[in-house]
Amino acid sequence: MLNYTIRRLLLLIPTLFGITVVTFIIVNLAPGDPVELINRGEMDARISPAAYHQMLHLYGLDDPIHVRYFTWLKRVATLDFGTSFLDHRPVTQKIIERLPATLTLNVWSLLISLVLAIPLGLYSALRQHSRFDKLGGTALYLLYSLPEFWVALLLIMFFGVKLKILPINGMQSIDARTLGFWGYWWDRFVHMILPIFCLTYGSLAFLSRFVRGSSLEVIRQDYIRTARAKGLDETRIVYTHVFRNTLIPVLTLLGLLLPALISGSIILESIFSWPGVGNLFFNAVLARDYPVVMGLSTITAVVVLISTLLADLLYAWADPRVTYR
Amino acid sequence: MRRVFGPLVIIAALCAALSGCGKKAQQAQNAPSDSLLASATPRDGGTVIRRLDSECKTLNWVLYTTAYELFVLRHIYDPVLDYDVNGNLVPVLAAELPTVSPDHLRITVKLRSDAHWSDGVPITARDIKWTLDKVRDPKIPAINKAPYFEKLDHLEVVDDHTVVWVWKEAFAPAIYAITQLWPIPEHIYGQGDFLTNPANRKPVGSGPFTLDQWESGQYISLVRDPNYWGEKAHLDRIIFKVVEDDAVALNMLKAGELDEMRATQGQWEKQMTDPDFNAHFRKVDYYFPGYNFVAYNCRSVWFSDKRVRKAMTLLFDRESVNTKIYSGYARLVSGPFYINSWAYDKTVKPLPFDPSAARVLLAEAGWKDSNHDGVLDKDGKKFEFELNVIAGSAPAAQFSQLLQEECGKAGIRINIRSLEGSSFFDRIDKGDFDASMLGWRLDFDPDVYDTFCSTMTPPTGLNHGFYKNTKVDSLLVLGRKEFDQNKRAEIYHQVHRLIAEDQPYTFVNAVPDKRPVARKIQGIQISPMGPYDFWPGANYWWIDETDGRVASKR
Repeated sequence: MLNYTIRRLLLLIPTLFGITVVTFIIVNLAPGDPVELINRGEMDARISPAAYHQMLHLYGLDDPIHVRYFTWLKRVATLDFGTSFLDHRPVTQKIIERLPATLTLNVWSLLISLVLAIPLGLYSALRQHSRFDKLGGTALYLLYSLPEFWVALLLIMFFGVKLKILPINGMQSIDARTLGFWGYWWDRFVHMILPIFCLTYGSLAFLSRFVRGSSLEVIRQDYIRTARAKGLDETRIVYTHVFRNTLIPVLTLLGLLLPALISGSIILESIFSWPGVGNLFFNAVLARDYPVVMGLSTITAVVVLISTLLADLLYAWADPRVTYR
Repeated sequence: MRRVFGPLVIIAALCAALSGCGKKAQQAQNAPSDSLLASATPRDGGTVIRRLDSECKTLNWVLYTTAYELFVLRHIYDPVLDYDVNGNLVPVLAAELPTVSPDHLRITVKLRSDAHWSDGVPITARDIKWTLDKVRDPKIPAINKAPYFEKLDHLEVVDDHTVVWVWKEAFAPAIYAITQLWPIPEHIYGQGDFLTNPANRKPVGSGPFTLDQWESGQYISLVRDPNYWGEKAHLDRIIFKVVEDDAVALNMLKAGELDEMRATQGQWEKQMTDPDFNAHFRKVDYYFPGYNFVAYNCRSVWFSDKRVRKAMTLLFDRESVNTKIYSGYARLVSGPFYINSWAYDKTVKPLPFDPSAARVLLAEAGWKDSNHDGVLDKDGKKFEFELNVIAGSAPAAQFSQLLQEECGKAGIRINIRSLEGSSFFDRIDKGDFDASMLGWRLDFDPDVYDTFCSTMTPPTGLNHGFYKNTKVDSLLVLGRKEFDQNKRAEIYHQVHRLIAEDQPYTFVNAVPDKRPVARKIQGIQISPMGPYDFWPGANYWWIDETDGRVASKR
């Protein structure tokens, strides 16, 4: 097992290298030029080619792409992602500044969807073909297929404009800090309601269907029939046998969901003006802010790789039938 | 002069296109209508919440690049000289209007002795020189400001409150250039690294407002500076909220979380019509310097003859572009100047839509369908060319299809070529195109030497279509040397007439900006540059809650 883990960890290095090479090339080959795009179409066209090249040089963009890649790689090896083309602040600082906003949203969303999805899925599975299962299933598929930006706008219109009971934008009110301790947190809380709802309903639908599927498989297993045969009461069967075994595939899935926690939703963060990582990434891509785009892509890649590994290891830990050598 | 990604106001036009034909034509006036004029005396207090379409990256004047950053900076910094609501030059940090030496080479600016930075330190001539040095520093990305000073020889600091701008040659746009330099304090920004100076996010300025809070990606809050050296502002606060999505911004406006925003054409026509909305918001629309056009390559076999270029314009139903794409909210233009500038010759009318006159001109120029294949030809060369449009711009696509259709009827075959941004501009910069859809964003100074003088051709100049008229050349040189505005206006009127005659472009239209503004806001003035980009801009707005709705709780 230890052997396996070490092997997997070592394998991360070439994988990561490959990922960064490909990303770097794609990012740099994407049409548009940071010197022009950072100015978002506002750039004065009277600049002389000399001034333009001076600017390219200032951003270090006049070197050939492989030279730029290795300069970048050398810096990243010391965990330095460079500074943003836009405001010249360190990329790491910009990401750290945005991380709490995204984490708050995603951690709550994930917790809520798990807490609701597991019982929902389990219940549906135990009452397969019941009215609850059928109606619930239809409703969940319906939810799953509603585009979140559209739902978000409808909710904004209804709760924000018509009823005027929920704030529709940002993480907090302008003067939230003057509201006192409880007032401040209440303000933060109401600002989260709409974005968290929009972020959650889709994954809730997906997760509960997933749990239902995996429970159905467990229920058909021999050991459940054995448990029933030896006269165990239904509660015991569900909690000790079905529930625990259902969780094994969910655990793996969780490992794969981990990267989404830090990457943030580009669309929702944009709609709710949520100052998170998704929003940072989106604007960096629009402006071809290469250091930020590369920094975020690399960090996301590392998290994906590590959580995939983690998922595999957790699977072995939870299910004694699985061993890695 | 800035070039724009395809025709101006892309999003606005896109929405309009989706909503189809609109109502009767309305023309923005750029003059305060009765409803905007203040009757009451200004009152102090209150907050205005404005929208930022995207996050600011800096509040350092030297480093700013976007219109949104300028919105905020307009309140934090004062210019030395600026244009007022009528487009006249006024002193702000300067004590008086600048004096120009008889040879026009030395422009002396005297500063007020009572002006000071928000930390109390006096504003001196050295701050101006230092700021200019930063703008011209090759290690500092200020390429949107540096070109104004290419003809500047040097700046002399005579004493604490006097600077002399010494130019290499007599250069009338120099005055405009001087209005484009807003000093920042040396004693703050001279400390440590300029690009990463903490003051870039916590500015020390000279304007009526100072920064209160900046929550990254959320909002920027400014408060009235009680120690401001000039007339104090009326508003307690101005808050700029970052709202990237247009639809969300409109909902926030309706919910009372915003007092002002820029509307898309579709929102303006479809979602801002109910009486309730109009009871709470004024709809303010205004032109800004810029226009859309089709550029022709005058070196090409088709467009070297001005009769052909004129025929192209006659074949382009620009009025129908206005009604179909902009629902009448746009104005046809006939020449290369801003329609609300003194340089624009209003006696030059846009050419009509007249396909039969176009056919006559084409025949005169020798283009006939000699082999009866439906396409005109001359000396064995077919009249078939490529029209470049930028990919993703809906109005550009629609413009070009209209042109394609009309030209097709007259025997001209247009192949529309949709190019992605950088390759589109790459071809334009090299002058490598037959015809191209473009828009210019102009400066308030009308100098168009860079775009129409025959020496300013690619790869270095902006005369992308290789237009050449020696009369225009000499007038443009003259226009740069004439400091008297009336005489200068006469020169540019001549330029306007000559260019309208030559039609190096098909001049299409100017499209106004549209903004709903809460009725409680008073003191809004609209200059030829719009409601913000002039002195004092939005600095002296005030609130009258009895006009329109009472401010919402949030």
